[in-house]
Amino acid sequence: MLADSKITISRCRSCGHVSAETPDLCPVCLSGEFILEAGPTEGMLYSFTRVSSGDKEARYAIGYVDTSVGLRMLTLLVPADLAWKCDQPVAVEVVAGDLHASAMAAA
Amino acid sequence: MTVVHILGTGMVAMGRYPDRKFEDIAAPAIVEALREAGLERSAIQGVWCGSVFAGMMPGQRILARIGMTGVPVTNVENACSSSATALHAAVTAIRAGELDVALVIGAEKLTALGGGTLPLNREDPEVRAGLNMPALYAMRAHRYIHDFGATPDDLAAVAVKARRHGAMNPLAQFRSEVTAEAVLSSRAIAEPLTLFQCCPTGDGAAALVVTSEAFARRNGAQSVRVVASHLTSGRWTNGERDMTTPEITVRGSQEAYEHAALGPADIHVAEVHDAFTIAELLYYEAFGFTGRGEAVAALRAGETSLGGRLPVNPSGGLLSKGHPIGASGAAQIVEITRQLLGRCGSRQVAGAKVGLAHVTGGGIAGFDHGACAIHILAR
Repeated sequence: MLADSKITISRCRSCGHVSAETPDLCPVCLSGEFILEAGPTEGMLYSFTRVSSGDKEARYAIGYVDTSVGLRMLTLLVPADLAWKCDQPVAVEVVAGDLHASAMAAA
Repeated sequence: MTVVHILGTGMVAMGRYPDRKFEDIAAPAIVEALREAGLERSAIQGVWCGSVFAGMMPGQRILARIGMTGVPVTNVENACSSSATALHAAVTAIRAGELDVALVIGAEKLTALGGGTLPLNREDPEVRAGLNMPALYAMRAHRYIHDFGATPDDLAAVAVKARRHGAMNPLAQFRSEVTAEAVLSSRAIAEPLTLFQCCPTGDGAAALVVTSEAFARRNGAQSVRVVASHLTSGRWTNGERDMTTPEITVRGSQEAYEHAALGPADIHVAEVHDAFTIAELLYYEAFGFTGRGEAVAALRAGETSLGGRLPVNPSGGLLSKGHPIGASGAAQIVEITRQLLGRCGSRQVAGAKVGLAHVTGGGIAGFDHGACAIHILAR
């Protein structure tokens, strides 16, 4: 995954299995060769939660985003205090090394 | 195949014992289990000990406190199902004829970790992204609310039931009832889960004397039969999964029922892995105790309360009895065994003859849960 705003994914050169990070071996076919591809830019929020540590400053929201490449990605939801909903369309990007999802209008 | 019995049970009251050593918390459970079985320490031919955070060789350290040394010890780590996995290993060895009398220990001292959520693997990509156990269950809860129209009140009702049952259990960490209002107004942990919807940090231990049927019959003490001892692992995927259908428990329950030649209608009492309120509802459905989307109605109708059609977690469950994780699997077997022997006093499930215990272990990316152990006992 690159450190700029675009997500990249690894596709197994042998069987096509997609991984969010490049593994040493493909978990499906055990091949060790991967092609880096441009990753998803949007997805659907499968579920979400806002996590509290008792310190308001430390509250953050995370959620599972289902993407068109078949990956379910755990992302930070930004901003945390939005009224997040299951099946909400979201845009996804990498910010400072973390996956972020933000709300987008339904198509 | 050799039939296996639970011949002795021991358990210490779960709670917070920061000033007691891990070994000293666990030892009394073993002494009690041996006494129940009417056995000397020297009768034990093999020991399996489940613990997660105790460090190296917890079994040997505990046994040294009570002079049980020189016996083969296997230490087992399988997250929250560690001591249920230890029981599975002991049952497997007895069935294979390798020994007749085993001791199973489950022990944990979570107060040694300083509180907060369980420390998960820091190299896990989802843990790095902010996942902890309450957050994982909270996402299951939000999806269940979305898919089936459940409400935060419904989740709170699980905690109210757990605490009502736990109030009748002298070994429970929480022995007081709570109202739904108190549950919902306790502080937010991971929305929609509040503090009282999460199992507490605590310490505890349980022990089981496990024997062949022939040994149990010769011995004469009351015992219950193990009619299924099932262990499986989760199936990994980095793609979509239905978080309201816990695949490992759905698959594990079907296999356990098959081993026992029983079905959900045959179960009289169950202890299931209610680490968080939502889990209990998911597991009613996963075990076929109710249909899909019908868990809330069953809970609200009292079907799973003491006095209902199929009391679930009469001990108070992990929410009220407590969840010192390495101890929990063995502690569930203690409860089910004592229920089947009619020894549970005010929380006794009348006429219970078949009981089920279920404990999972999770917190790794790509799995519903990593481990799931299911035992079905009968008298």
